[in-house]
Amino acid sequence: MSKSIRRYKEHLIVKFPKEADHHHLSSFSDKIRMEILKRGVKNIIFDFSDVTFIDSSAVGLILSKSKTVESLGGKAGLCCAKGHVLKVLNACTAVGLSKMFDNVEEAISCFEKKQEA
Amino acid sequence: MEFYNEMTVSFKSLSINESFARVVVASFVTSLDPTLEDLADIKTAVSEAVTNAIIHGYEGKDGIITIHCTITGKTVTIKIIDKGVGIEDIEKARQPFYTSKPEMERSGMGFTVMETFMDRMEVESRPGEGTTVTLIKTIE
Ligand SMILES: Nc1ncnc2c1ncn2[C@@H]1O[C@H](COP(=O)(O)OP(=O)(O)O)[C@@H](O)[C@H]1O
Ligand SMILES: [Mg+2]
Repeated sequence: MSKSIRRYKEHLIVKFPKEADHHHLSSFSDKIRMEILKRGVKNIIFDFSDVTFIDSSAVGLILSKSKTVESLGGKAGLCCAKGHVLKVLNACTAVGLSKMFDNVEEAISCFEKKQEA
Repeated sequence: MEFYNEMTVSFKSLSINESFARVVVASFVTSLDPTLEDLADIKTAVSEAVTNAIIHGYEGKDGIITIHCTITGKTVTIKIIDKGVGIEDIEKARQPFYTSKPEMERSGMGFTVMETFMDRMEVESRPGEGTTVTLIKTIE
């Protein structure tokens, strides 16, 4: 598995590239799709900690992948979005559509708590 | 006399040029002493328009995109021009979440982002002739 997509238990953690534009995301999208379809993957967490640039292409990818995991009974969350990244997500109303977390661990513990309940 | 400057750049409709396009506009605007946030806003809007020219205007095929940029006083005007398929219904295209390419994982929020991050955005387009998007921002 490539470093930018890792698996922890039933969570798929997707680390966006530094420049998350249409050019850098087009092959990334196929890689994520193949990982989502692997056995035992339930939730997806989008990690923005390395991102210095994004536009609405990233939002299209997030919404599409979130829909896929949610239709399979999983959850999607965003983490480490700040500054310019947060501003773009806000402008695209993606913030209202997905759960936001400060870091990956927080997202994982929220998803696991929900399961127990 | 008000400060005036202009520049034009043309490049092939390849997605690898998306970052080149936004960086070249950002460097041109530097003379206005913008904040980092101003620069990020302009880069994002330019990236949206150039990406649209590549994937919608030329539909991934060969074409030339031209960016014409002027600075008048403290105001920057950026025109992103393609000679691609054009837009049938501009009103509809500008609606939040509207996309003609949902299968390509588009969000339909490109025009909304351009409008939010710039002071003004205008779209001129003719089916079969191409599209010109004009982005305007005053750096205070
Ligand atoms: N340069 C262009 N040439 C042709 N059609 C365009 C162009 N720019 C935008 N469009 C049309 O406007 C729609 C909305 O654009 P946008 O808001 O950027 O959303 P998205 O790119 O996610 O589809 C596009 O789906 C496309 O149909
Ligand atoms: Mg777009």
